[in-house]
Formats: sequence, C-alpha cells, structure tokens
Amino acid sequence: MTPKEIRREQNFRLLVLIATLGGTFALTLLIDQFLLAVILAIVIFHLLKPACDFLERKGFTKKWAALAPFLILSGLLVLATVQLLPLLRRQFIVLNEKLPQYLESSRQALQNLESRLADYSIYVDLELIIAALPQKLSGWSTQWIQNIPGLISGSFTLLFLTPFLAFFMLADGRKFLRGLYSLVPNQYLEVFVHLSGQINYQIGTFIRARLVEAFFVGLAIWIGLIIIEFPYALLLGFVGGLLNIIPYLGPVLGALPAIFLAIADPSNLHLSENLIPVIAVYAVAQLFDNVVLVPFLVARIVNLHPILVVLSVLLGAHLLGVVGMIISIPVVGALKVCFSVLYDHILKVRNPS
Amino acid sequence: MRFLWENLYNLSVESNPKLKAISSCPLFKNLSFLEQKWLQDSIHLRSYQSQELLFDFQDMATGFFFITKGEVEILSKIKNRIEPITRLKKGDFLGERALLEPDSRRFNAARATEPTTVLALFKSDLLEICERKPLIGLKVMLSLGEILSKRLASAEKALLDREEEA
Repeated sequence: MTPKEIRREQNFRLLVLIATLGGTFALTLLIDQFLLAVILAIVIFHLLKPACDFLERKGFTKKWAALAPFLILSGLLVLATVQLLPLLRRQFIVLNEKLPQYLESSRQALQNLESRLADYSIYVDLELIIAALPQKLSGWSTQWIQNIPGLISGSFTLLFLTPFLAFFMLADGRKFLRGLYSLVPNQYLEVFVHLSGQINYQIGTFIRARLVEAFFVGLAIWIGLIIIEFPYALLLGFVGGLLNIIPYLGPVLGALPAIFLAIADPSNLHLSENLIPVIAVYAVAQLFDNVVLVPFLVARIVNLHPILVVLSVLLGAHLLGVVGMIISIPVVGALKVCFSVLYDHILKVRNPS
Repeated sequence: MRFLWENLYNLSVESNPKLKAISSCPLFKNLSFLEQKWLQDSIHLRSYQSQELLFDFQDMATGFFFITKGEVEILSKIKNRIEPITRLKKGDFLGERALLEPDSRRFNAARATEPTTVLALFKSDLLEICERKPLIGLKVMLSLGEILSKRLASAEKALLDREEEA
C-alpha cells in the first residue's frame, strides 16, 4: 500500500467517525427531550461511577456493579419522595393559600415605603407597581399551572429514558466506547484515547463537585431556616441548593423567594424582624460554601468567566427554561474542558519542549 | 482444568485473537486466565497496513504496543536524516516507558513494514484498570517494572562494554 492510499483510507475512517458522532448528535436534537435525557443520564453516570468502581473492586461483576448503585439510588429517591414529598406538598399548599395575604402585605409594604420616601421629600410613584403586582403574579402562576400537563408528559419521557440511558452508560459504556475507538484512524488513536480519558475525568470531577456542593448548601439553608423558625424551610432549602449550581447568579436567585416571603409576611410588624435573620442564613450558607466547600471540592474544577456564565444561563433559559438554566453551567464547563484539553494538545504539538 | 473453564465460559483462547494476544504478552504474564479475560475490554487490537505509521516523531506518547503479527521498524533522526535503527518482530514490544512518563513525546517513529497486528495499552486504560481492579493493575505494574529494569540493566551493560572497548 502506498502512503497516499494509506492516507486516503485514514481520511475515510475519520469521515465515518465524524459522520457517526454528528449523526448521533443530530438524532439527540431531533427526538423530543432526548438531549435533556442524555445530559441528565451523563450526570447520573458520573454520580454513580465511583460506587460502581468500588463494587467492581470488591469482586462484583460488571452488570451487578452497575445495577446495585442504581437500585440503591432509586430506593433512596423513593424513600426521600415518600418522606419529604408530603412535607414539600404541605408547604407548597400553605404557600399557595397564603399568597393573596402575601400580596396584600407586600402592597402595604410598598405603600409604606412610598410614604416614608415622601417624608424625605423623595416622591416615587409606586402606584403602577402596586396595581400591576397582583395581576403579574397571578399571571405567572396561571401560566405555570397551564404548563403543568406539558411538564408532566415531558417528565415521563425523562423519567423512563434517563435511567435507561444512565444504566446503559454504566453497564455497557466501555463497550460502546470500544466500538467508537474501532472507527478512529490508527494515526489518531493515541490522541483520541488520551483526550477521551482526560475529558471523562474532568467532567466527572466537575459534575460530582457541583452536585455535592449544591446538596450541602441546600442542607445549610434548610437547617438555618429551621433554626430561625422561618416557614417553608425545606422548600426554600431545596430551591436554594438547586439554584446554587448556577455560579454568581444562583445564590442571589436562590435567596430571592425567602427575601420576598420575609418582606411580604403579614404577621411581620417590623421589616428587620424577619428579613435580617433570613439574609444572615443565606449569607452564612454562602460563607460556608466559599470557605469550606469551594476550596475542598470545587477548587480543582474549571472556573468560568462571569460573562460566559451569564451568557450560558441566558442561552440555557432560552432553550430549555429553568432546567436549561441549571444544566447550562455543567454543559458549558464540560465544553470548556474539551476545548482546553484540545488546545493544550495542539499547543504542545506545535511547540514541543 | 483449563478446558473446563473454556467450556463453561466459552473462553477458547484459540478462537479469540485478542485473548490469545493478551496471554502471550509479557506485560500480562502474571495474570490469571480470568484476569486476562477481564482485561479484554481495556486493550486494543489494531491492524496496520505495510508502510503505515504506528506513531510519528513528536506524537503524544501514552501507548505500549505488543506485536502479535508482522514487523515494525523504528526510525530515528540521525544528523537530520531519518534512518531505520532496528526492526521488531512478532513477540517484541515498544513504548513501555510511555505508560509511566508524564506528558512525554515520541522522539522516534515506528512504521509497519508488512501487514501488522499489535496489541495496544494506553496510559488512561492502565489508570482505569488500577481504579477498577487494583490487583490486576498491580500485577501489570510489576511486570512493567520488571521489563524496565531489564532494559536499564542491558543499557548499563552496553555502556560498560563500550567503556571497556575504549
């Protein structure tokens, strides 16, 4: 075989590889909810992989090592749902019932603010906001309720597809990867295997660190709110922890519902009585995150530029709504890892030391 | 006893070229039959055409290659000319240092001189083996240490011989 023929064959294999990867990606975009299911399955895969490896070290077969953590996680989720869902549901119903009262007291709070500002000769017309507030809030809640059927049907697709994909990744992911390697031209095999190993490691570390961080921040908020006897502690802790995945914006977005409740509480005589302890709880949770969790968990993983974070979150929100906002950062973080590893590799090839 | 295992698990070495190659590779000689079978998923069996490069100068070095069929020539740059310095045949191996060196590059090139099949193990595969099955990883590492120490001893001997000649 002449070098020209070898090059032609390698180029053909590279083309087949690119077409396979591109085709798979196009398929994930075409099928409704499939991309989201794949992303969530990757998150579950990286979350369970250490447990799967541990069981394999202990002598379990590949299939059982993949199945056991899956069953345990499912059991824990069912247990948590059974235990915590009624509490969450109760808190949600109470919140829904009290919403008109909260609206009324927030209207009063705004009127008080207007008259106080008038004392200092600052005249602000808050009437527009006061008039629009109930309409806006009820509009949002109606819209949210109208979206529920869509959310539920989408959740069912995700509920079945995500665990299936995650289990496939844990049990047969390596076989799939081997199949992919067989398409890689010999010339690029070494680089391809190295890069896929690096990217897999970095993405795994990133996802695990972010999820553990979110869990502990949520836990800190929950405990803090219980200590100050603030209502809806579990609901707010859950929201705070989940939104904490979004860097920079997340902590602020997570604190907003609690701050709104503290301001709008009808039993609240003085604003400072509720608001200061709530802000203190969120501040302590953030302090705990930045002083304890970040140096130990997140310091090793990629940090994204604030502008990139805002753009990613906006794009995620535009494409997939709230879920898009939450998963945008891990996805962009993973892409950044891919690009930085590839860039390092190209740089080293061009400038060998 | 082996025929029993082979019949029970359908693991005939003869009918499985990858398993056959693994069982004859010095890096995996300390492994039991079932351990070698487990290793199959982490090892690559690759075919090269005549004149096809296994790796080129300055390529990223992370792989170990064991020749199971054919012949490979090692090319080196001597005074800006690329010259073959040695030929490796079936049963020989190359690139063992790449499994241990951090961020290393190839300062030689390797090219198949006839249709060749090699067994390839890369650094990321070895790390994964160590993570999932530390005992297998340890046995592979011990064999790797043995190979490197033999290489070092022969290099020392060659240096001493040269000094004596001088």
